[in-house]
Amino acid sequence: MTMGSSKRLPNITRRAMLAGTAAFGGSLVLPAQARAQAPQPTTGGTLRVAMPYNPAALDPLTGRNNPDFNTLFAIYDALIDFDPNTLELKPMLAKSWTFTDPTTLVLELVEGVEFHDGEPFNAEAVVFHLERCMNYARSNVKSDVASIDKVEATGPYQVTIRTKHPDASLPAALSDRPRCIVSPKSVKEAADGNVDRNPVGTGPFKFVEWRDNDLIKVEKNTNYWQDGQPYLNAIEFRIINELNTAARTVMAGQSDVALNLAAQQIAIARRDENVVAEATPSLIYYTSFLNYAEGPLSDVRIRQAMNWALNREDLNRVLVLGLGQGHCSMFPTGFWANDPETENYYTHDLDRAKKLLAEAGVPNGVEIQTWSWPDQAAVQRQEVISSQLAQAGIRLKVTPVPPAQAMQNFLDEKKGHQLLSPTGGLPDPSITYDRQFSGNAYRNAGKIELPGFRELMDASLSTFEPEPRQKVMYRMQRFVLENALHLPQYMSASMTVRTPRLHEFVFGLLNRPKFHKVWLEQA
Amino acid sequence: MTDTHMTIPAATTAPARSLPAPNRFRFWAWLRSDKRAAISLAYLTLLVLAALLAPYIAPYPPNEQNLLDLLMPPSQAHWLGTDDLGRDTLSRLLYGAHNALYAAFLAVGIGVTIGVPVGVLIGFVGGWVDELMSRVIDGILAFPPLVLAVAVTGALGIGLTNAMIAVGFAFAPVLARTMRAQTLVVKNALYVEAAQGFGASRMHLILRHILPNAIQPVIVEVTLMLAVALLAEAGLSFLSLGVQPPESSWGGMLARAYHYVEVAPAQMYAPGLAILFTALAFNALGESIRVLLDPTVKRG
Amino acid sequence: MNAITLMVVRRLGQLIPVALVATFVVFSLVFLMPGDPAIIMAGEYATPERIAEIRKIHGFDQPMLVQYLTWLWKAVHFDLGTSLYSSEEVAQLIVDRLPHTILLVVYALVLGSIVGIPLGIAAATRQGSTLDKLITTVASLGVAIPNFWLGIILVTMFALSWHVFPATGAVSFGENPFEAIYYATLPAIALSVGVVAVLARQVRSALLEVLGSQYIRTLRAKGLGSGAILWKHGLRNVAVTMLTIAGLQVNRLFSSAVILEAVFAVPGVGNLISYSALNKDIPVVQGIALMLVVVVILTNLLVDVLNAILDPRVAAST
Repeated sequence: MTMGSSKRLPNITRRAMLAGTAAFGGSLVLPAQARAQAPQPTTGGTLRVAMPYNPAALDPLTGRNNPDFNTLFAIYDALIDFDPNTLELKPMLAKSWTFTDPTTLVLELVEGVEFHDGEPFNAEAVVFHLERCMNYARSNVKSDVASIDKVEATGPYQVTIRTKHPDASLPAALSDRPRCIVSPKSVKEAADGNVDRNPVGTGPFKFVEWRDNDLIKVEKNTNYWQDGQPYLNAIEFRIINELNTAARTVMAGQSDVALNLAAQQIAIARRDENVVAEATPSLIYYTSFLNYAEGPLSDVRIRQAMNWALNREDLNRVLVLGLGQGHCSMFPTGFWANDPETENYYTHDLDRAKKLLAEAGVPNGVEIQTWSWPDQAAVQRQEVISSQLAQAGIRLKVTPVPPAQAMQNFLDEKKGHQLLSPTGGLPDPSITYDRQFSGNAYRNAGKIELPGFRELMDASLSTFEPEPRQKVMYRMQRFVLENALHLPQYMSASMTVRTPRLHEFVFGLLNRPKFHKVWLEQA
Repeated sequence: MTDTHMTIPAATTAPARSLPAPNRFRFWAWLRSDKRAAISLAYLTLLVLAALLAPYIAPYPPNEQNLLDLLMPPSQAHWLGTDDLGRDTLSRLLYGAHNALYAAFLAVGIGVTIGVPVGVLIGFVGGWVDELMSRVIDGILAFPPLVLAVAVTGALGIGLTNAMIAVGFAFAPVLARTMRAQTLVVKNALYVEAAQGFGASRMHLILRHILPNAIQPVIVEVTLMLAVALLAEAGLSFLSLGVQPPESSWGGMLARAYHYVEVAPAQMYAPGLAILFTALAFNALGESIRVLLDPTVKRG
Repeated sequence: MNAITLMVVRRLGQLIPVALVATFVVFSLVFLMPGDPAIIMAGEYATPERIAEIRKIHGFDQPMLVQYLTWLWKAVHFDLGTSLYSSEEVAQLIVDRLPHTILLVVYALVLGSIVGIPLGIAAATRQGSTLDKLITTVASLGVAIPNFWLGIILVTMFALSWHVFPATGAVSFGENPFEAIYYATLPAIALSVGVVAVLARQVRSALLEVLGSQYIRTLRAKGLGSGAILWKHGLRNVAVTMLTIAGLQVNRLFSSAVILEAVFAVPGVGNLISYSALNKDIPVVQGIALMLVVVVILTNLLVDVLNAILDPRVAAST
């Protein structure tokens, strides 16, 4: 059952990391050298993508789930792009971005770009777009742009953003949902400004049709501003809700790639020589949100005891068939914000867990009221974790409820002590820490901040240079672990199955694919 | 779920017969003459014993995980193999019997508790009450019962007891409808009219005359419903709405086995057969009781 | 007005109160469910302010009766609203999903009839024989077997081992009828065993009853061959039973389809309603509830009309 590919990425240079990422997918991924000798891109063909989720909306501002991104980058270009394997920011519609002072960010835009509806892309369009992010009633990205005070067009192709306080995470936030620039004309012409089902961007593909829970079709933007791109004529995104079914369509030759898969499909697909099954590092991780403001978990020793009681190697091996990473960091090994020295801060040590419980005055153990989800994968996860914690005397009393209800019970009504949930997948580590541990974060059930957190948070936002910022992130990681602010379980993996004829396809750390350079070898 | 095909034509048209008097009913003679009933009862007795004695006869604790022996095929150590967390399938099957039986009886019990009184009352009172309640019953019956159960489970919270309340809720209108029809038949029978003439109280009428006479087809229906409830429990647990882990249920075991069907296909046979045999036994027993209570119904 | 028209009018009149009761019951159940759709609608990393804002926009804070009456008022005007999560029109959602479920149910009914009726006839004409006993046993098994388990077994055998049929998934009938039927075959077989069992049993006993009646015995005495009797008199009377049963089965088949659609990953209404109910997507649940009630009642009406045509005495009594 074990896949034997939980190979760790060496944390050295970015180059090494990229090579490591490729190797991570197992022997089926072509090594970098072989890829160089691979055939040159050919133009044409329709890519058939199988994906499990119907997007909530194709308007980047009103969508809400990460799988929405499976289609967004085909239609929309970004202000600021990122490298899928390192999240290093890269220019796109913004040629450059500079903090002229800690609260002023200046963007220089590329010229000569047009939206799919013929509108010119310029500073006006960017200002309109960012103001819509901030003010549109249905905007779900208000928190991403919360630090923005004012957006101005300071030239036909120059935009100046003033922030309320220093925010080093803003460029990364601008590479999240707000990055997708929507045509102002399409918004102005739409009823109530609702472009959920009528997406117009500057991206390499134009929207053709969306049949809910069935198909989203896009076709080549022949007027695309980046020369020679895209290579594909069209993309058909087939929505197939069940993961096994989605993976099987690739094996049967009905799809070229299946996205957002789970470990079972990878294990099965790896028996089939005609397909490539990849599991690469992901920023999604599984954890328990803890209420550390009240109840038994307000005692740090009990939280630490829980962390010592988990055997994360086993969790990774059993729950994701060894395709993830069994450590207690919130980022994969090799990611720039991950401190390799503390990623194994907690190991499996039952004696230590019991000793901490005794020190906390509960030598006979403690009962933790737990919320979990009712689907099979969540049930399995919950069973293994319960069993591991029980060996230290920590008894979970689990109530399974659908995700929204679990969040309402635990986060709004403050019932229970912990909630098992996957989370993460955000472009900047400051944002990741902020959304989970800040006092006003929705996911922080107790709504308190432990002493020392705010200082580190502020430092992470006001430190702009990469190396000092990395140091701050290392300290933050240590802070979260020492205080056992949550119960990290394992890092997930980005899992896809594809035909070997598909080239340059990268699902990446964030599970947000780009299709500009993807091409299909003709059969 | 609710087997709406379970009509009881003989009882609804013919005047009701009273139960065979206990002193005249010879249990062992019945079993000797009806092999089907004997086998079903023997199986169900064994199942009840297995459910009660599971802690003593199960080879392993049902929730003991062994993360090094996942999805093992049957062996000397594990007669039916192990599941995706290395737990012994046989032990979980035995413990699952307890949940299966509890679920079946609970659901039917709830159906009877709601359905029988409502049926008798609306049949007895008649008039606009009957008219209104019959529409309500039609409304609920028009809705596929499992869909109703899913909605009720959602409203009450996920878990075995709530799921079975949901199933019982879906049974109730079926039973109410049967009871109503029976009550009408009995009510119109001469002796009730006679009793009414003597000024017997309504309550007395219901308890003494209508209920005992009308309950016969309900006994048969209830036995058959046990099978339906068992299947419903399995289905809801398969959808993760029933028995909650780590407790074992046959439907839940099937759901997990299906998750790994390409890796360990053998895991799905034992729980499925357990459901099949138990449902079969309840059905067979129901048919036998029907023949026993109403000799005009032919076997088969 | 003749008897059949009268019956149709009366039954269509009953449709309204029944639909009202059913949708109100379902609305109350789903409304009482804990969980707040606003949390899902606000997205994965929502802030509390955003969630509160969404609650207000959608009027989730209004009393239940107000919300129900609002829904009803719109429904009467043929507006079933939009899904809370996908912003898709509920009517469109049902139009997209229902064909998958109807294909399964109709396919199962057809398969069930093709197998079940001959089995019933065979058993009745050879009453007491080994074949009769075998058929009776098979019928008992058919009622007791969990459909979804049979579905899993079919997947393992026909899809994963022998690759004769696709394991899971569905193709829309409108897009490619042959592919659609091909994909629906395994789930339809799993769904049809109950129909086979019930039909075989009921056809058998109905036939036995007819064949044993005075009327047939008289015909036989007049020298009519048994084959001719079976065709001309037995089967016509049995047809009424069969239709009634097929009508009653529709409701049951929709129920079983909820689980089978999950097993076979069919994007039908069963899948949709269990998902929507658990996530409190009230407009979708209500729309499907209304639709199912109408389908079930109309099916039963159709059955009764056919019965009345076959046997005019029925019309007067229903």
